[in-house]
Amino acid sequence: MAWLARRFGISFVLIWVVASIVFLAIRFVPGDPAELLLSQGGAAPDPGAVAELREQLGLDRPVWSQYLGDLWRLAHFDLGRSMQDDSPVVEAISRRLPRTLELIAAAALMAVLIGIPAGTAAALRRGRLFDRLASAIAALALAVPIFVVGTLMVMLFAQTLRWVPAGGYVALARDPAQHLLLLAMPAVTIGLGLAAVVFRMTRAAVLDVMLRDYIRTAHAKGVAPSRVLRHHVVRNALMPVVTVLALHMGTLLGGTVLVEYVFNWPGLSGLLVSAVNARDYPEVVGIVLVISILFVGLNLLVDIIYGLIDPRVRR
Amino acid sequence: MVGESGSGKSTIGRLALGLLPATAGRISFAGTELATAAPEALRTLRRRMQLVFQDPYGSLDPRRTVGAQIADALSIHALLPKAAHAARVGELLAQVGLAPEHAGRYPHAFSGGQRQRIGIARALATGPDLLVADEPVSALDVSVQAQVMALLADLRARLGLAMLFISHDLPVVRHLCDRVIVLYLGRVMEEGPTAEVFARPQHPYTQALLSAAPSLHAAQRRTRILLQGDPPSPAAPPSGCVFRTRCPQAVPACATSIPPLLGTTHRVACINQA
Amino acid sequence: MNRAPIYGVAIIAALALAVPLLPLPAPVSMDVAHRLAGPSAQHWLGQDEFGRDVLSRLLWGARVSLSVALFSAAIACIVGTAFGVLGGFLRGIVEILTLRAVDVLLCFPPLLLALLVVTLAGPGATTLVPVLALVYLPGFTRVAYAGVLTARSQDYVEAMRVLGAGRLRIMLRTILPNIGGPVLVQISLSTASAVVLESGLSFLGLGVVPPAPSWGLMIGAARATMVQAPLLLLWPCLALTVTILAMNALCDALRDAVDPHPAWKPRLRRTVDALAPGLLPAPAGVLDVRDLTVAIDTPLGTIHPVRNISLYVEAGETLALVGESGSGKSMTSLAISGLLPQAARISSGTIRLSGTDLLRLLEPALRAIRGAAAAMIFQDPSSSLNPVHRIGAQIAEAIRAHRPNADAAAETLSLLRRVGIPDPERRARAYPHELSGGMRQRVMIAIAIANAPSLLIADEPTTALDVTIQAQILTLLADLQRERGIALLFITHSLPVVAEIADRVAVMYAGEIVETGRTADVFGAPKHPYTAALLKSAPDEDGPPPEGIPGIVPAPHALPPGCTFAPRCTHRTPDCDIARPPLADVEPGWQTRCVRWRTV
Repeated sequence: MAWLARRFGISFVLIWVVASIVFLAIRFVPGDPAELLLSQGGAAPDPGAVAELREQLGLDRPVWSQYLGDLWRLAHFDLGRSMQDDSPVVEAISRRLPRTLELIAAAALMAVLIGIPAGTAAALRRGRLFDRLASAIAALALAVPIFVVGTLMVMLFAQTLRWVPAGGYVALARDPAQHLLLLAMPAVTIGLGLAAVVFRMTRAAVLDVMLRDYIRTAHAKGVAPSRVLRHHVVRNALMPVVTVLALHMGTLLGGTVLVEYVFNWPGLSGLLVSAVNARDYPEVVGIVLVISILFVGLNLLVDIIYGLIDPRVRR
Repeated sequence: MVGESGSGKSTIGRLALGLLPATAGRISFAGTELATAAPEALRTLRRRMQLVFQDPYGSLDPRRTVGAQIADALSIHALLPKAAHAARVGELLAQVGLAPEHAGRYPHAFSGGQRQRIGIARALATGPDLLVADEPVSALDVSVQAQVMALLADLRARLGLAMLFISHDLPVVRHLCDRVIVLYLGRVMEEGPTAEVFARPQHPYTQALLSAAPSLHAAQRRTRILLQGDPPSPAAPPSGCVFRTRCPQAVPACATSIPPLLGTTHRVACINQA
Repeated sequence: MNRAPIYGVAIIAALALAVPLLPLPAPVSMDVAHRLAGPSAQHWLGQDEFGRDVLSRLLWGARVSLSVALFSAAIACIVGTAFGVLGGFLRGIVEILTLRAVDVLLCFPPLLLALLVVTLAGPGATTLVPVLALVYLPGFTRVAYAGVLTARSQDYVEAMRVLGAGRLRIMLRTILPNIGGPVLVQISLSTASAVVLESGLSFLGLGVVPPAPSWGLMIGAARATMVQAPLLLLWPCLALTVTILAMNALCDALRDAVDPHPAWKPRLRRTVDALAPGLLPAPAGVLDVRDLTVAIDTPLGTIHPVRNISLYVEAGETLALVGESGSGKSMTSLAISGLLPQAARISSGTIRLSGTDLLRLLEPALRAIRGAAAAMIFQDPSSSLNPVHRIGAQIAEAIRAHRPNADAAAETLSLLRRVGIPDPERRARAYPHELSGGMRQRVMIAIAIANAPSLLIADEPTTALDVTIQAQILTLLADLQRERGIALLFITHSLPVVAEIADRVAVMYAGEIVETGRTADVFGAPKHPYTAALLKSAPDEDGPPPEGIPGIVPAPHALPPGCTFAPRCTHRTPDCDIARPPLADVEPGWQTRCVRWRTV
C-alpha cells in the first residue's frame, strides 16, 4: 500500500503547486488587474474605484499575505465571490460541475463501450474489411474537430431533421426523458472522437500483446482461443489503453468547453467562457483550480487502476 | 573474473574504468588513483584503458558508419591529424580481421561476430594498455566465439595488453586467462592461477560451479555438486560468508564473520580451508 | 513510407503560401448587397454574411491557421527538446527543475491553459503563438527526455564515455541524432493539434480577432445563418477536416517510419493440406517427423528455413536438436508444436504423434493435443509467463483446459511441489515477477507436465539461466523424464548440454539435419565436417583451445547449390558443389549429409 500513499502524496503536492501557479499568474501578470478591469471602456479608470477594487480583491496587502490567505481559503473551499453578481464562486461551481461530469462520464462510457470491442475485433481481423473500414472511420472521427462535429450535428439533427432540440438543459429530476434527449447530442459529440482514440489504441495494444511469449505459452497449453483473448490478451492490452484515456482526459475536459458552448449545456465550461469574457478573475481562477484538481484526481485514479490491472506496479 | 548474475563482475569492470565511483577502497591505474584524479587527468587515462562490450548490437551506434565510430577515438584524443584518420581506421579494421573498405558501412550490414570485431577495433584505436572485456563472446554462436577469443588472445600477445576478462563461462576462461577470480554476491571466493584453480578448486562454491558446467566429456567428469535454491538478493546478502545459505559444507560459524581471503598465489575465502 | 500524406500536406501548405499571389478578392473587402450569395463566377464558393469572398477567406484562413500552428510547434520544439535533453543528460537538479516544471504544466488541460492565458493577456494571434507553444512544450520535453534516457543506457553511448568523449560531444553526436525521429513525429502531432486548438479558440471568439480570416471564426459566424446558408458552414468545416486528416495521416506515416513494428502477428496456423499421401512407412516412436519443410514468403521470394527434416523420438528417450543461430532448430520445434508465426507455413512433410498425423487435424483437435499429449517449454521464462496472473492460476488454467473436472487447485500444489518449489501454498499466489528465473522455469515445467504429456518439446530451456541453476533444471528434467517415460525433444545451441542429457543428437545447419545418431557415436567420431568443426569450436575445460569456423552461415535466400556447408568446409571438393548431398547411412541409426564421410 506504500505506492498508494506515495501517489496520494504526489497528488497533493501537485495541487498545491497548481494553486500557487494560478496565484502567481494573477498577481504578476503585467498591469494591475484592478486597473485593467475598470479600464475596459477605454477611458482612464477612476483612482478611487481602483483603490476600492484593489481592497476588495485583497491586492493592497503584501504578496505573501495574499498568498497564504488564498491558500487558507482554498483549503476551506472558499474561492471568493464572483465579480459579476457577487455570489460565492463555490456555489456556481458546485451547481454546474455535476452537469459537466455527467457529460464526460457519458462520453467516456460510450468511447469505452465502442472503442475497446471494436479495437480488439479489428486487431483480430487485421487487414480484413472490418479492420479497414473501422480504421478509416476512426481516422475521420479523429480529424473532425469537436466543435465541427457539434455544429454539423445541430445542423443535421436539430435544424434539418428536427429529431432533437438544438440544445439546452433540463434537470433529470424534472423531466428524465427530455434530460437524456438533450444529453445525447453533446455526449455523442465528445464520445465520437474519444471512441476513435480508444479504438486505435486498443487495436495497437492487442496487436502488440499477441506477439508476446506468454500468449504463445497460453496457446501451447491448449487453452481455447476465446479464453486466451479474454484472460491473456485483453487484460495486458488494457494498460496502454488506460494510459491513453488518462492522457486524453485533459483534451476531453477542454473539449467540454466547446461542446457546452455549441449545445448551450450549462456546465462548468460554459461558466468559464462567460467568466473569461467578463474578466471575472475570482471565477476564472476558481474554475481553473477545480478543473486542474479534477485532472490531478483523474490521474490518481488511473494510477490506482494500473495497480489493479498490473501487479508489477504495486511495488 | 567469473561469477553468475548478481556476482558484481560487470560492476567491478565499470569501477576499474572509472565509469562508476567506488564507495570505499582504491583503484589505481598506472600509479594514479582514479577517485582523486582530476577530470583532465582522467580523460588522458581513459585513452589507455578501453572496454569491449557484451552486446554486439547495442554497442554500436546504428546511425553512424563504423569508420566514423572508430575515428571518434582518434579525434577525441587528437591522436592523429584528421587526414590520417582514414588510413588508421583501415589499419585497425585489418588488425581485427576485417577489410579497410568496411569503414564506410553501417553496423546493420555486419553479423554479430563482425560487430564484435568492430567493437574491438574501436577499443584498440586509442592504443590502450588495459582492455576490460565484459562477456565479449557470450552473445555469439560457438563457432564465432572461438574466432573472437583467438583474436583477443592474439592481440593481447601482439600488443602486450593487460586484459580484465569478465565471464560466466568457465571453459572460455580456462583457455584464455592466466589468473582467475571467482566472485559470488559481490565477494571474492577464490583467486589464483587458472590451471591451479581449475585443477584443485578449494572453495565449495568454485567446486560447485566447476561441477555444474556441462562438459563434452560427460563420462569422465567429477561428481556433480548440485547447489540448492537461488542466490540471495545482492541487496540483502547473508551475514558472514555470503555463500553459506547454499553451501553444502556450511557450519554455524560461517554466519558469524566474513572469512578473509587467505593464501599466497592461490587464495581462498573459506573458514573450512583456513 | 507512404508518400500520399506528404503530398497532401504539401499541397495545403503551398496553397497557404501562395495566397497573396492568387487573383482573389481581399478577404476583408465587404459587399453587403450580396450577403449570403451562393457560388458564382466571381465568387466560386459564394459570399458570407458581409458579402466577403468565401474562397479567399478560406485560403487566407489556412495561412493564419498553419502559420500560428507551425510557429507555436517550432517554439515548443526548440524549448521543449532543450529542456528534455538537458534534464535527461545532466540529471540532478536540472532534471528536477525541467521535468517537474513540465509535470505541473501537464496538470492544466490544454484548452484550459490557453483560456487562462487569454484571460490574462487578451485574445489575438500574438497571444495565441506563445500560448500554444506552452501547451505543446511538455510533449517535446517528455519525448526528448525519454529518448535521452533510452539512449543513455545504450552501450554505444557508454562506449563514447569510455573513449573519453566530453558531455557536449556525446549529446550532439550520439544522443541528438537518435532522438530525432520521435521529435519529428512530435512536431507533426503538435502542429496538427495546434490547428485544432487555434480554430477552437477562434470559434469561441478568444483566438484570432475579426475581421482577420480564420476557419474557427468562419464556422462560429456561419452558425447564425446555418438555416439560410448551410454551405457557408460546410466550406470551413470541410477545409478544417481535410487539413487535419492529411496532417494526421502524415503523423501516422512518420511514426511508422520512425518506429517500425512487425508487419505480422503470430497465429496458430493449421498447415496447408498439400501433402502427397503415398505409402508412408509405419511410424517410429512417440514423435515421428518425416520430410518436414517450412516455407516463408518474403519480398525476396519464398525461402525455406527448414528443409526435409526427418526425426523421431521414442518414449523415455531424449533427442537433442542442436545448431547455431539461423540453423532452423527453433522453427522446427515451432512447426512440430503448431505454433509457427503467421508468415510461415509447412509446405510438405508429416508430423505424427503416437501415430496421429498432426497436419491432418483441425484446430480444435490440435488444441486438445497441445498442452496435453504434447507439451512445450520455452527459452525465456520471464517473458513466457503472463505478468498479470498468479502462477497458481496459470498452472490451473493448463489443467482445466484439458480436464475441466479435475481438482485443479490440489493438482497445482502437488505439481509445484514436484518441480521443487518450496512452500507451494504461498508461491502459488505469487506473480511471475516475484520469482527468480530458475523458479519461473520450474513453473513452466509444472505447466508442461500438468497433463502427463507423452512428448515434451524444450526449446533452449536453460539458455537464460546461470550455470548452477541450469544444472538444477537439467537434473529436474532428467528425473521427470525417467519417472514418467516422456519422449523429450531438446533444442539447444550448447554441445556440452547435449553431451550431458541426450541419448541421440540431430545436428542442424542452414535448415537441414547434417548428421544424426547416438550422441556418444556422433560426438566421439563425427562423420560430417560441420559436426567436427562445431565440436572443435566448443570450449572445453580439458580439451585443446577452441577453433572457430571461418565464414558465415549462408542466408536462406542465397543457399549454395550443393552442400550448404561447402563454402566453409576444409574438405571441399568440386563434387560438393554439384548437388545437395543426400543423407547417407554410416550405420543403422547414424546418418550424415556428407558425400565424403568415408574419407574425411
